[in-house]
Amino acid sequence: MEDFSTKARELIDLEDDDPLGATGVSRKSLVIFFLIDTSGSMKGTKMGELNTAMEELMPEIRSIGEADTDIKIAVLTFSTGCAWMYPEPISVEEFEWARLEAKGITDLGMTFEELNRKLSRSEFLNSPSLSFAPVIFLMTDGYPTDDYKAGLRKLQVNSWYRYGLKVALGIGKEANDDMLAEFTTNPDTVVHAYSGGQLAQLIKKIAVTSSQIGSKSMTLADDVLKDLNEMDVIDKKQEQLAEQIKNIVDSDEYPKDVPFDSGW
Amino acid sequence: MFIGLNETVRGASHVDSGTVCQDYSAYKTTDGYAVAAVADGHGSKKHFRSDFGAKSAVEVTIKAIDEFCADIDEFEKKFMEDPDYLITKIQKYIIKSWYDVVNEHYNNNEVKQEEREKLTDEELAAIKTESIYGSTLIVAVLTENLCFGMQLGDGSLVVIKQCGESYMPIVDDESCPANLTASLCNSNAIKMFGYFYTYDRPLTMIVSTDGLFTSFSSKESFEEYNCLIASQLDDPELLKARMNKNFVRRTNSGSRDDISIAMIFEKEMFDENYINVQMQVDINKNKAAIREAEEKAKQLKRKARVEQIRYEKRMMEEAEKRMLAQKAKLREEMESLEVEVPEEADTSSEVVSDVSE
Repeated sequence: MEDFSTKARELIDLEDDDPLGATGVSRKSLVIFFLIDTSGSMKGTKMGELNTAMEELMPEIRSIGEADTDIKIAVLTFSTGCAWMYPEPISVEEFEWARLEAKGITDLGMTFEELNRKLSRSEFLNSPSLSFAPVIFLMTDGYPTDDYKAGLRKLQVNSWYRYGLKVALGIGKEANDDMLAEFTTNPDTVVHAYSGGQLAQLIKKIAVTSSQIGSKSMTLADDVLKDLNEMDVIDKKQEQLAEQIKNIVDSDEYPKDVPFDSGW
Repeated sequence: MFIGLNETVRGASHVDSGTVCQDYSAYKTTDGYAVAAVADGHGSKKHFRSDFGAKSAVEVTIKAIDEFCADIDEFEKKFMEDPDYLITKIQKYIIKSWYDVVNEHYNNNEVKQEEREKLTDEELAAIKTESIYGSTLIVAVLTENLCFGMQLGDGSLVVIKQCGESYMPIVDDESCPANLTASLCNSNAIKMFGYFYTYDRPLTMIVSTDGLFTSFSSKESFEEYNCLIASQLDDPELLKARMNKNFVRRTNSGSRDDISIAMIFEKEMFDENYINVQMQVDINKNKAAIREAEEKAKQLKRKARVEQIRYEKRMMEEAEKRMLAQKAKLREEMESLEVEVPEEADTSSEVVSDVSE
């Protein structure tokens, strides 16, 4: 125990060359996955706003974990096919946003399959310091052009997806909320941005809020009324997120500017 | 001669909140066998007696191994006939013994107000007695001719081979993602137990709770750390003091969780192979240096890519500006020549948006 003997302390005080002292220590970590639609319909102001919002978001996320948690970012963009911005999750301290371009169609099903491959202990979630289920944030402005249900079915049996905190942002009036709710498994964690101002604010606030909730320790003991299982814990986090999203949208500060579909 | 060593440090989060350590570790050595065990009580409101649950888990395990190994020759013989059957039998015995101990403790110790905090009578009644004591359990057993390990919930079992290499024989199957763990209090705990066995005698077996594992950035660095620990077993007292100091640092700067470790080894085997583990430590140092260099190279590559993108964007913007200036100049020249200039829509904002994509 910690009250170890004075003799033992003397032993290590005398010993300058402690090999264990040279070993590195990692903080607890959380991975946030951003799935971003870069299809042709995102071209123009939508993509410009998204790029700017994501650039501005990184310093804000850096301050969430502070000394306790290392937040890592993984960005998967999708249009005709899908691609990771970087080949592995990057600590937000070192993350550099590479501005995105819009072109192509919307292969969301393929994207879900790729996400399923990387949501694994042997892939993107291989760090022992990973202490929380991931946050998965989907942003799209339209309807998938491939069989997204086939990809989603594969994702739905992945424990990391099931236990992850999922949120979706529909951009403009073409985005399909039902499809997004299928992804998040909860219609209350689907939100819609109809203007550039709303898009910028929602990206930043939702990413920050979901990271805060995602990195909060919540064990099976946090609800005393019943013998909680893992899904109950995740459902509670989803509920908290849904409530926060509602607060963001209902806030007086929420922009009521020119809608995308008339303004972009 | 079998030797054991254990150490437990209270987590930084428990120190801050003034709560007790919920880990427990212990070992036992005899002439015929050695056993090491660690347990991590779940803590938090519902598992308000998990410190006792963790202690009981370790104690019933050591007692169980003691009973099964009372006649070590007979035990080894039966083990070799059907290891899976015998290990499962031990697991069932441990679970049953633990249930008995925690239920007896519950019946003999009325729940005090300070324990239950804000739980109402109704809420308390709804919690299974065993859940109040919920804990993980990781065990290593070593005899002259075999070794085996068992694991229920988060934590690690590392085996250091005679050649000095280390490995983790019980694989994480991803059934319990981050922050969620299997437990002795689960009704299907027996199905959640992982185990392994081998007849290759190891140099050392080390069990630890997840507060240690989660303070590392990679599985490789954790295995190498265990190898480093094994390399210092020639002076167990000094090693214990160093581990204590290092675990305090790890919980403060890393996991913030309780950290426990327990290990067993045979002295003659260790003395014979001491040089191997020392050499492995040197090899691991080189491997770590290579990983670090690779990581730095990746960072530089990422930065270079971003710089390249920024450079290209800047060049495009400058080209755009030159083009607009040229256009304005031509327009002026045309106007000065009194040529009728057609009206055209201002596309500059659209062009800038495209560039920004």
